[in-house]
Amino acid sequence: MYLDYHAVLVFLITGAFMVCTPLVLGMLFRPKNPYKEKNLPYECAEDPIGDAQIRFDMRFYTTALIFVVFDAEIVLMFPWARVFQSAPSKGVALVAGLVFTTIVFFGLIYDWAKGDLDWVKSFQNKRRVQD
Amino acid sequence: MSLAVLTFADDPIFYLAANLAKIVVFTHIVLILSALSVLAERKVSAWMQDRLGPNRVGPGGILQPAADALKFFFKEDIVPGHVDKVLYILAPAIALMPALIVLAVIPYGPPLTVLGETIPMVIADLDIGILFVFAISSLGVYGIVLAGWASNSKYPMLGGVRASAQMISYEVMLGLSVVGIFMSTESLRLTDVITSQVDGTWFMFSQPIAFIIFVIAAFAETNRLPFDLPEAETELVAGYHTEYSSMKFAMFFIGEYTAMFVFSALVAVLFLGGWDIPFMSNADFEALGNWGTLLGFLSFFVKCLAFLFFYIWVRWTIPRFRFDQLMNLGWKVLMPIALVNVVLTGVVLGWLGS
Amino acid sequence: MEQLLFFLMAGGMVAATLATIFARNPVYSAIFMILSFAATAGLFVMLDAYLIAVVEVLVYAGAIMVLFLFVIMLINLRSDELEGLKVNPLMVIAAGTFLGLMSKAVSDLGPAVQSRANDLEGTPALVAETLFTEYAVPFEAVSLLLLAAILGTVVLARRSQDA
Repeated sequence: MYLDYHAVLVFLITGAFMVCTPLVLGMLFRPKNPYKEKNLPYECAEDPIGDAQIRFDMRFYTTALIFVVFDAEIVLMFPWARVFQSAPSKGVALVAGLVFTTIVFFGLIYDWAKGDLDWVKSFQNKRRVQD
Repeated sequence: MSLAVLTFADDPIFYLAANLAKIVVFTHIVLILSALSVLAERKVSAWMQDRLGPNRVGPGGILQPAADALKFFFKEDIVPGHVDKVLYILAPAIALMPALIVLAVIPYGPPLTVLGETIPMVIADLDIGILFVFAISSLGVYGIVLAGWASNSKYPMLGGVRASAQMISYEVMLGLSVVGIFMSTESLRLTDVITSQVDGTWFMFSQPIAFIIFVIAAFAETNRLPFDLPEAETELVAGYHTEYSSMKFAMFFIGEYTAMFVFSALVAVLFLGGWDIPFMSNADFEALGNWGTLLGFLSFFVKCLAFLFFYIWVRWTIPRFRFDQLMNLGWKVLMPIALVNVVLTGVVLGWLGS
Repeated sequence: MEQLLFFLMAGGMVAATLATIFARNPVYSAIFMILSFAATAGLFVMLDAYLIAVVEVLVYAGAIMVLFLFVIMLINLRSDELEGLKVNPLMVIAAGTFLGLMSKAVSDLGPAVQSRANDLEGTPALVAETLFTEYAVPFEAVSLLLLAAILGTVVLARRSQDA
């Protein structure tokens, strides 16, 4: 069992090697002649205006937070699934899992009801915030 | 697995040699298949649009991937002046590595017997197999978000941000959809999932809801049409890899196709019975010995290729989603359905068991 | 071999954590933190705690750090903006207290799991069984914690949107 992880480690090293070799090897052959226009950000031949590392929209942050919570939930669901059938009472096991997921899902439902899951905020929603 | 499996303690040199051989062979098979699937993509799309497709290099264009690879080697590798150098160079490698590492836990066929030793046809048969897959593939998002950020250019930035939001959202559905499978297999090990399907029914039939959700999520995770918003060429030029050229661009490209192969393999393992052939049982495979291994191996790759074809087929059939539609589909439709599926599985299993 | 691997992992972890603190660019800090989590996962594997190792990668490296990256990019502080950041005495006190508590907790644990020899295999089945028998109530309580986290998000996001 433990040795299987050695295999993963070996695989990781081999993988890194396989990824790096073409990158490094190619450097020997490639031409290199940069000039000013080539070094500009690609914006379909328009001169770029302003910085590109803009601030993210708030919605991405909300999505990421909900994701973290559900990721944690799923991690706990897999061990539960693993022992579900060997539980002395499957009914109790099911209820235990259900209570857990339902509570977490209340969060999703709350977000949903409050409109935080709407990617395009509707006009109505905006009005509600302004009021 | 009833057979005694070769371990390090039995014969260290043989064990190491076998493992290294497996790693080299499997990664090369997959990388060559990814390269060929690029060609297949162009050929199939050409057929679907009544064109010829690439047909100049080699007979029927079969050497096109090799020509592409050579070109990637000899083209100038532009590192624009406005980028964050270190992350810009690292991002392609970060994007490709997770897809490659996941290959370590995919079972390619039934165990092989060499010189009286049993060698499992999987590089690392972990008992947390599926969680390993999710853990490593969840790291794939960094390559894309960092490529977008390090490029310091508007299109890559938008593509990277979109891609990360899309990938993390669908990762949840991916995980939740397969919980039902592991409730019935009672093991998180991928080989156990297959052996339970070889003797029983494929999960495609016993877990149809999970199958549909998993397939949709797989398309979203690999940024393929109809969910290719991160690189939507009509609006974002090429998304997160707009500023990349030469071998670095190739890394993203190979990464995408390797990820496609990984998800095809996962669909095959989780839902299509892995190396199973209809009407064959585990005992049949064992009785056939190494021929059984070969048959299983072929059957597995046929399933993978069929799903890769499905990927391409869908690409030329379904138009792109809008980003809000994508998010709504994920959080408001697939998420509740996946949960209902888990509950249904629980109820059915409890009812059958008692 | 075992020793060498341990020192590689532990050394990598410490180095990555130090780099997290000293990196000038917050995005690089985040990357180093991911590395540190990966090395920690390696250490867990060496302790036979496979499930914890995979959770470390899945939840910490794969999910929480995505959130961190988002936050860094959301705020998008330039390094020159960070220059002006003064060290607040409160920060020192908070950090000191935390350090004290942690060292107390660690020393109270005593010589913990020292080797893989005590056959405490952290297989999913074993962890799950303890989780759903002995620790069933705390397990359910975790869901409340997660719920609180979601509600907190919404409230925070809402407030900053109003402002």
